[in-house]
Amino acid sequence: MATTIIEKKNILVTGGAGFIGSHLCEELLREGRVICVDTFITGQEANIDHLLKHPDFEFIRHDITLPLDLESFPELARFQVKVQGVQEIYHLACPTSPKKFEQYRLQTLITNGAGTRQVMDVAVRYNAKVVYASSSVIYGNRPQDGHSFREEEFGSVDLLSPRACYDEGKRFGESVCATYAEVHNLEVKIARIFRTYGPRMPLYDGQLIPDFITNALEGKPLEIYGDENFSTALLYVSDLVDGLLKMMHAPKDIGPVNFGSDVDLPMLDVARRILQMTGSAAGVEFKPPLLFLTELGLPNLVKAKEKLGWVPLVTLENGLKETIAYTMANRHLLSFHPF
Amino acid sequence: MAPLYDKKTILVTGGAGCLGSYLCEALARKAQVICVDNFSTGTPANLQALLQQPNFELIRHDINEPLDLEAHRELERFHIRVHGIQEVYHLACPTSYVAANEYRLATMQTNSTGLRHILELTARYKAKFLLTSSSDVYEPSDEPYISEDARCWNDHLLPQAAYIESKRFAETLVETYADIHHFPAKIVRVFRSYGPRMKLGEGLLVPEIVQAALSHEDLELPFSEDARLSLCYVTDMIDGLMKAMDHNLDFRVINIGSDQETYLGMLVEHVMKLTGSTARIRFRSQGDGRVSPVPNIHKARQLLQWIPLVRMDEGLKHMIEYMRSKHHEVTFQH
Repeated sequence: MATTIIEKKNILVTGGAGFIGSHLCEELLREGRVICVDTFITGQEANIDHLLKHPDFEFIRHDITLPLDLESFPELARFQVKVQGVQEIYHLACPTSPKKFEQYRLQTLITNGAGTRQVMDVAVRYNAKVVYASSSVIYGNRPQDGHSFREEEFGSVDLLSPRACYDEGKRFGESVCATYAEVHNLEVKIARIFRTYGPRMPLYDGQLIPDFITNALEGKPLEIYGDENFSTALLYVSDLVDGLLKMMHAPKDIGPVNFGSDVDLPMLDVARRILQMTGSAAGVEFKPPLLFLTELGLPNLVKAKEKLGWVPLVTLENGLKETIAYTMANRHLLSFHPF
Repeated sequence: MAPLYDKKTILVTGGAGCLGSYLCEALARKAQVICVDNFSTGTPANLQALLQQPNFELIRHDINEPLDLEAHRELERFHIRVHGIQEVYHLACPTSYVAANEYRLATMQTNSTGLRHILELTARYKAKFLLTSSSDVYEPSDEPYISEDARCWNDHLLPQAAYIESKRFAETLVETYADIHHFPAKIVRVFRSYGPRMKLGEGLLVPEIVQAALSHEDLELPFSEDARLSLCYVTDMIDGLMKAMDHNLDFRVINIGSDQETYLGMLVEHVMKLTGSTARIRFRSQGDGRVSPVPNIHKARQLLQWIPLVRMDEGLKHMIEYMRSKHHEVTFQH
């Protein structure tokens, strides 16, 4: 059945086997065909195992810092990319790992620089709409005066700090997006994602919530990388996915939008809540802070609310319940990874 | 390890540009110089004095493609496989204020992928590295004397971000590579400089004024007469770059530029006097803002014993002589 009428959109998701990417792929399968690209630097095959049999889902192992020619992959033949094109691209690919941050410094920079450019070239080829998953890190550290970050702020990133590969990398990624959008008249939107949690976050990687839960389940002390004042806001992953989809369908000139929770939570309270919910008798321990795991500032959500009608809906209680259930079911499998 | 050869071998990217060509000339007095350029904004004419010299070689190459020096036959006499490369000056960055749009994507690519290729090469030969960054990475401010620790907070989504943000990203790349691969690297934040071989038709202030003076043509500038600017003559700039490379002191970032401010009106007056021109230069705006930032060069003075030496009169004279000699060619091309 050769037809140029598009029955279903072709959607490309880079970094689709990651924590956020896999949830996004799942949701996108409701509205289109999903081409998931990942090279498993920090993404995990297990995250998309359940999607591999779906007729509208295809996985391609590919490093996006290299040119990506979708039409050269035989496994994508049924998506008829040549005829049907690609309508939407969600560009999430970027190594993220608080524990192995040092190891991935160069890859992080290259993925945000050369990688983003390769993805934009795909967008130019098919005139596809793009949502770029940027990060709250482009704003820099949590401000002294405690104000929440508005999208207009330039940020205070130190471009020569050891963690600049991520912070400055994301800034450069945004610049690449903005420049391509202008030069090639593309529709590119920038979603600035604040700290997010949920099922499928990697374990034993310094990612806070999943490690709290595994430790609680195993009766080991919950480790907070900082002191009792360490606090952060947490967005549940399904809320974020909802925001990313809304962003894709937003007007072209919307500019960058913050997605995150603006409710600041002391980590100690979160840890205690998890102990209570898992019925664990484990205690809490304070550890020296990790370079890559900082408090982060809070988002100002006025723009997301007014322009997209987006607000976080999932309560911490429900989010944690889901995450605990997932971790309980999977931890034996997950903890097998030789970290 | 003692050097196998008497002379160092030095790689200069973007060596066919204005700054690059002067640098190549200065380096070729003491070393073997390999100049790489794709002539996107540079021109081989800038290197005419060097092309016949045995210790100089020009390679036409786009650094966005990986660069394997050992595969170039014309470099065989430098015995790179044995002798290696000792220093890398990375100047390559397509820039144009007029045709900015045309170059925006190339600028971003050169400062990410292109720079990465050169850093890989530097790591391979364990060479010393120097990046020419720009005063544009500093947050725009009315304060004079910007020091190296001044804030670099810029809007990275503006059209000019293709250049500014690229330079920021380039600095981060250099920092990260040097840290991981342990090679000495310096980042020089270059402030406004001027000299012969600057391109015309690019909206660059000094050459446009000189050109107008030489052709006795009126010119309107989008600034005020009282606007202030700092200008560093190209040979001073080159001297600063070489000193930054040579010093084994532990610093990463350093400003090189002139800390002497001048008024645009005075600059124009100088040029008119030196050329005896009848051209009329008009100023479109009012006020006393800055056309270009002024560096604090305390660090360069202290660590490198560097100060700008060429007086503006002298620099302008050289520039006028050069442009006068090229005047026929230049007006013919335009």
